[in-house]
Amino acid sequence: MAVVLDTSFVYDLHVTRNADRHARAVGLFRDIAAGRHGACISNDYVYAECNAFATRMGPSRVAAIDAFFFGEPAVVRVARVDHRMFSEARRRMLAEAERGLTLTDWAIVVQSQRHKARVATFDGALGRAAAGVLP
Amino acid sequence: MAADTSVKVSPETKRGLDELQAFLTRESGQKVTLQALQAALVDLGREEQDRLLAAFADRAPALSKAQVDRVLSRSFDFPLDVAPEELDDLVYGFPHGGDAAATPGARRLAARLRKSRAARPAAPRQGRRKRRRGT
Repeated sequence: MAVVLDTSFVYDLHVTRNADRHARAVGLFRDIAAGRHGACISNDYVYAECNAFATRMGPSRVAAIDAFFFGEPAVVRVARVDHRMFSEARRRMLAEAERGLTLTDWAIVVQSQRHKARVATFDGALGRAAAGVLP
Repeated sequence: MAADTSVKVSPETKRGLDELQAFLTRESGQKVTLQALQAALVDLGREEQDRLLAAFADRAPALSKAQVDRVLSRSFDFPLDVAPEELDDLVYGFPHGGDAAATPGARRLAARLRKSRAARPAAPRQGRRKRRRGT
C-alpha cells in the first residue's frame, strides 16, 4: 500500500486560496503522515514541475519553493524516473495522446502501478488514467 | 583512496552475493571480486532507484505532530485560484490537453515566424540548391 503525490495535491496542500481543496489536502496529508495510506512517494518529474510552478508564483515564489515538497525528507520519498519508467510513460503518452496528459502525469501513473499505489491528486484527467485516486 | 568499511550481511544475503559472483565469473569469463560486484550493484541501484524503492515502499512515514505542524505551517495564500486542470497552463504555457498552437503565445510566435520568413532574402535558398547539384 502506498500513495503517489501529484503536483496538484502538493499545490493545494500549501496554497490556501481554495479553502475546500486545501482542507481536503490537509486531511489527506494528516492521514498519510499517520501512515494510513502506506508509503508516501513521488518522482523527480513531479518535483521539477512543482518547482517550475513555484518560480512562476510572483511574490509568493519564495514561500512556494520552500513549501513544495515539504522540506521533510521523512515525509515523501522522491524517486528518480528511471529508464523503464520513462519508456513506459512515453509509450502510454503516445498510445493515449487523446487524454492530453503530460509525461509527468504518465510517470505518476506508471509509478503508481509499479507500487500498487493510489494517486493523491485533484486533477480529474490524471485521476481517470490512474487505477486509484485520493482524496 | 580506499575506504575500508565493514558491513554485516545475513547468511542469506551472503549466499546471494556468492551466487551472483559465481554467475558473473562464469558468464563473463573473468574473475569478479566481491568488491567489484558490490560496486556494480550500487551502480545498478542508482540507475533503478524506483525499483529499489519498491522494496521499501510499504514503509509508511510516521511523523510526529511537530513534524506535521511544521509542514502545514508552510501554507500560504496565492491571489489566484488555480484549478488543478490549469496548473499545466501555468507550468507549460498551454492548457491541459489543449492545443498549444491556439494559445496567445503561440499565435505571437507564429506571427513572428511569418514576419521573419517574409523578410528573409531569396538568395540563400538558391545557393543551397546550387550546392546540392554540385554534390
